[in-house]
Amino acid sequence: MSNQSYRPFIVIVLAFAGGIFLHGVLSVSFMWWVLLASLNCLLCAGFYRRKCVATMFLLIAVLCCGALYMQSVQTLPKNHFSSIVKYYYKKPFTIQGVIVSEVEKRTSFKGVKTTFVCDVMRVKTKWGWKDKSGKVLVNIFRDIDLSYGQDIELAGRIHRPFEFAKDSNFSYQDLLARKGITHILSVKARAKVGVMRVPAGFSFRRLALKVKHKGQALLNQALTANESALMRAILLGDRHDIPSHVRELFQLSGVAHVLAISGLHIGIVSFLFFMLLKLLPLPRLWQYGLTILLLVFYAFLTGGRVSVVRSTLMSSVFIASFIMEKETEVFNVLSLAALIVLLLNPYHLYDVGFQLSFLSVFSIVTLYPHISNFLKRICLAGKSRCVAHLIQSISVSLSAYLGVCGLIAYYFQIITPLSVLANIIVIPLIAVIVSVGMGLILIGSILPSTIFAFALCLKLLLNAMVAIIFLCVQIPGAYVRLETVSLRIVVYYYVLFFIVIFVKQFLGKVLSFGVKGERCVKT
Amino acid sequence: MISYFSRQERLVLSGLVMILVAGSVCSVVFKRYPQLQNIVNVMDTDRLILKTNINTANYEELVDIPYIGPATANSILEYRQAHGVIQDISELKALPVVRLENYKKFSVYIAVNP
Repeated sequence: MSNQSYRPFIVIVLAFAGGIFLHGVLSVSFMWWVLLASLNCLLCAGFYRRKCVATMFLLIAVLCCGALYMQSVQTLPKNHFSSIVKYYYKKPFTIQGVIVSEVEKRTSFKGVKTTFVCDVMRVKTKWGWKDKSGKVLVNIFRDIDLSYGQDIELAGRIHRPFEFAKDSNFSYQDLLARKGITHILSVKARAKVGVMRVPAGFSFRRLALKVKHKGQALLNQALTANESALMRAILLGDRHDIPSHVRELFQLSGVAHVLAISGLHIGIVSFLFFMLLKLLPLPRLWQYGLTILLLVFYAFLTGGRVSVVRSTLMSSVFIASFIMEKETEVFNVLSLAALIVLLLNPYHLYDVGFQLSFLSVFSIVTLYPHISNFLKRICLAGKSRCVAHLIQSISVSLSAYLGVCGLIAYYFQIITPLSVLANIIVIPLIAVIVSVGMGLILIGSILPSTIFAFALCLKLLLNAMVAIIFLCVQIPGAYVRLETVSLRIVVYYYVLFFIVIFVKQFLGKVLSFGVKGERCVKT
Repeated sequence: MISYFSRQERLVLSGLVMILVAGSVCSVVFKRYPQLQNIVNVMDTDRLILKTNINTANYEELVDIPYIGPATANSILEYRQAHGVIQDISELKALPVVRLENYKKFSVYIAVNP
């Protein structure tokens, strides 16, 4: 089998994801999944001589494994603190635990609040401290200096996450549950927060957060509040401070994806890292290796969202293929990335970011060549370099849009036909903005006197980008708001989408086979 | 002299030079003509806010506007029914459910004829 057609991870990830999905849909008991998985493993071993049958049983075993994996993540341990929460209704709930996330300062109706995730270790009960486990989202309604890895003791009111809008598709409770958080601890501004131990020693995550805070400080110092908020989203993954009117413009024009760090950003950042490493007198192998290491560090720095993990994994595999001098198969790498993301947290399957991220890449890889060839045939002037670049940009934007528009319509009740045009303008601008922003952080921390030049360039670029997006939104028909989009319509859309793709692929193979046959006959 | 630099070095250096030149030029221009800074800073003004027409918006559209809740939305609809077209957004200050501080916040998102 040739390297190009060998894609083992595609079927594995489809079976594993199918298992996760079926676990949510079917009410099959844990024991049945175990029995089914064991039986299929045995059948696979029994039919090892019959390749097709053995593979089928193996895939069913992987499917059961997906369901069991989901069950294992869902099941809370016996000493989980949620079992005693009901006794603390309107009473202070005192915990001891470790801060396991970045400590963020956000604005709330009570002023500034400090928010982070705490891994609970002990809970104070009538009978003294009891060992407990579980994660809780802590909101302290004051500005307090805490950091990742600290052991803390605090008391507050424990409650379930609030559901903000009952009619919307979005559920805050589900969002937190996917991160393993079942409750929120609200701590009053006057309440005492004790730091029991400050972390010592080296931690990759702590170092990444330190660099991130340094970057945030530099951006805050150099730019205005709104510009800094936008830059922090694009470079460091902090999206919560973006002004609502700017966020709305990005959503309506269909370029909101640039606010989330994804393949585009990781591609530019890896190019910049590689360029900088090339300036150093290092062997080529070291340059590739260090680029992968820096990318992983950047993924930690930006909070490790699904799209970041996906693009970092894919970029790392592609760079590693240069080291090993082996070609990679893009669908296989994409599937491997999906499998790793699902193994990190199977709840990601239901995450909008996961679905959009993987579907857009799949769509670009499958549709781009066809759309590009079609446009080249239409535009006879395709020989010009400028037109060729334009065709490339349109093809990439259109193929990505066709892949995700069904999901966007379902989740956000909006269709943005003009997004292809907006993307052609915004994506090159984002490439420059990310480069200048990285320059500001890297060079600004070494030579603070040069920050002004980077800051002014960024100011011009950011304001120009937002103004262009505003103009795009003003064009009639730029966006269409929908009342509701039923799941059935979305399913029909994607069935049609995949039929078109597979028919195209099948026809392509048949045609290429025909051409080969003709050549054989001629020779 | 140029041949001393590799292709990558030239690329990085030219990028840095361009940023320093553009930044220095902008710095001089903004210092000499401070009013230009106001024109450039579109993000910090309300010029880019998409305004909702208060005379044509329905209940859902009104509730979607930041700082307008169900009570204010209903009150605006009742006012429109009673008085017809709203000529000036300051008319909304007279509504009993609208507090002045809230009015200041949501008035940037609405217009009588955007």
